[in-house]
Amino acid sequence: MAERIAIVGVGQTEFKSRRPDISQVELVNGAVRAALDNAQLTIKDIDTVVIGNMELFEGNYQVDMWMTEGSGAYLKSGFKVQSGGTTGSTVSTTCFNLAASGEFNAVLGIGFEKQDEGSSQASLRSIYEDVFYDVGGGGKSAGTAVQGIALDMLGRKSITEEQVAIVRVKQAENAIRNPHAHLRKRLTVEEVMNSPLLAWPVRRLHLCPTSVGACAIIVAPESNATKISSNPAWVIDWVTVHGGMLPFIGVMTQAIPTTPLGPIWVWSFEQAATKIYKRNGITNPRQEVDVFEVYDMATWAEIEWYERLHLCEKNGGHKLVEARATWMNGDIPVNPSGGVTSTNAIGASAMQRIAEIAIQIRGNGGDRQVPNVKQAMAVTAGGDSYSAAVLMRKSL
Amino acid sequence: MSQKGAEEHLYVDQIVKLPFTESAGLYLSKFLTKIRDEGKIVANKCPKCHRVILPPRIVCGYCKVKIEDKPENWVELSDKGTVTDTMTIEDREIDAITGEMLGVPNPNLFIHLDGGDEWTIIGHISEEMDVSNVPPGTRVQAVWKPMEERVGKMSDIKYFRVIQE
Repeated sequence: MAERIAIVGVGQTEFKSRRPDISQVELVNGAVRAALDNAQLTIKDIDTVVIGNMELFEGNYQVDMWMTEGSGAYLKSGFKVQSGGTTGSTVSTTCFNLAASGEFNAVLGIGFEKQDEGSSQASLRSIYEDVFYDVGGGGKSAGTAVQGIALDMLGRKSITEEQVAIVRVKQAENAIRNPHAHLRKRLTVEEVMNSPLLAWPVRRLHLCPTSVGACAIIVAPESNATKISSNPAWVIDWVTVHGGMLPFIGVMTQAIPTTPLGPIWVWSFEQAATKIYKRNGITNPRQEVDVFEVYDMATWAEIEWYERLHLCEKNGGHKLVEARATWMNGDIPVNPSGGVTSTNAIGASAMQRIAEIAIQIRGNGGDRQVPNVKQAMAVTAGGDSYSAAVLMRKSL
Repeated sequence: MSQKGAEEHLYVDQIVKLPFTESAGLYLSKFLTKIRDEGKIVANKCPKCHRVILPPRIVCGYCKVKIEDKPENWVELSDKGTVTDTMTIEDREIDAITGEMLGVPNPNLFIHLDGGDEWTIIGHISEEMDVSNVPPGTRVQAVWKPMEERVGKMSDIKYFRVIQE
């Protein structure tokens, strides 16, 4: 019988474009210390450490070993996990599994990225096995992958370009209230609609930035969680779904919408969310869940996720936008943190979705706090088609 | 690189070059050899769902079935096809095959090759630089390099050219 578990500590650094003042080890250490302070623990209370970042984004690997000075993993068990864009949520669900095993009293998870140190584009473009196949280079850049979703949504009239800009403005407003967000500048619909075109209809301001930052969580089984915190965020259920590696359809991300299953990241995202709904008796998520954090690698994706989370019917994204339902004061707030379009240190991004709903459950959101959160969900997605969904509650 | 100030913060160069050669394996070797020696594009077919898979794989990821290397599981595709999507990359990007920067604009076509099914998509370079002249539905054909210049890479096809039928 698995242990019931809770998040008892959350730590985040500040997020910026460049941090010439600190090393990767020091960056990670900032998040670890913040999480330990939040839980009022010391590193001696941690039994195992799981860490993750994007392969080769900083030009190195085996961060589970050489990051030990910053992570506190020296002489403890633990390892690195990675799953591309969802690395942070895979670190988190791994921590949940370890805590639920009953073998550990406290598990520390860390996600980070220091994107000012190298060419993330070079790494992204060599990630897949079938590099040789993409001779034109059109198959696997994140922006063009988003283009597939965007064209599909415009084509089936789920959303207009102007409504996408309105949602981007909402994200900016939310980010201003979050001290850990990277882009904290007020935007106007005109600024978004006139930002440079990357691959029509995707514009620069629709896409997430490249950020430097780290996030850490501390997870404990029930017996210890209630000792550590009087206000733990109970992790009720979690699932990871793999949508299938892209080479099955020839690495041609651009061409995914034309396959019989629809866009593959979209598919795994919906599978993850609906598995959680089904297992926990959630039949009307818009009413039953108080707040969502989702991995909006682009504004287009956020609105696609509204549909895939079943917050509206298929092609109904525009209705949620017209009603401002997903705004901070709407009936189903999505990404009160400002989301990934505001902050994207990739290895941290998917963990921040989970950390932010733990913050919401615990009532520690400050200016970005949604009132009276009892049940919240985080759902993540990445270009390599992993998705994770996590359900948290204020009480067991 | 440094930032001047009361305290100086330095970046340390770490130049990483990754000149790997990966074994193509049985299935991709057949695929690339056919391209080099015969100017033909071959795919394989899942024995369970009958999906045509390009480039050919040892397993159908959806059915989790091994695709045996038997003649009935191989499919020869035409080098003609129908455009399903186009894309022009406006920003300069790294060519993961050579490590060099790709030129811009860089017009890409995504093509359903004749003889395949809706899964069978090849992505390649467009001869026509303005892809708005190559809308979905346009018929195109591969333009091959001369036999003596072919080396068993996707670039043995120079680009795809619009054809009239």
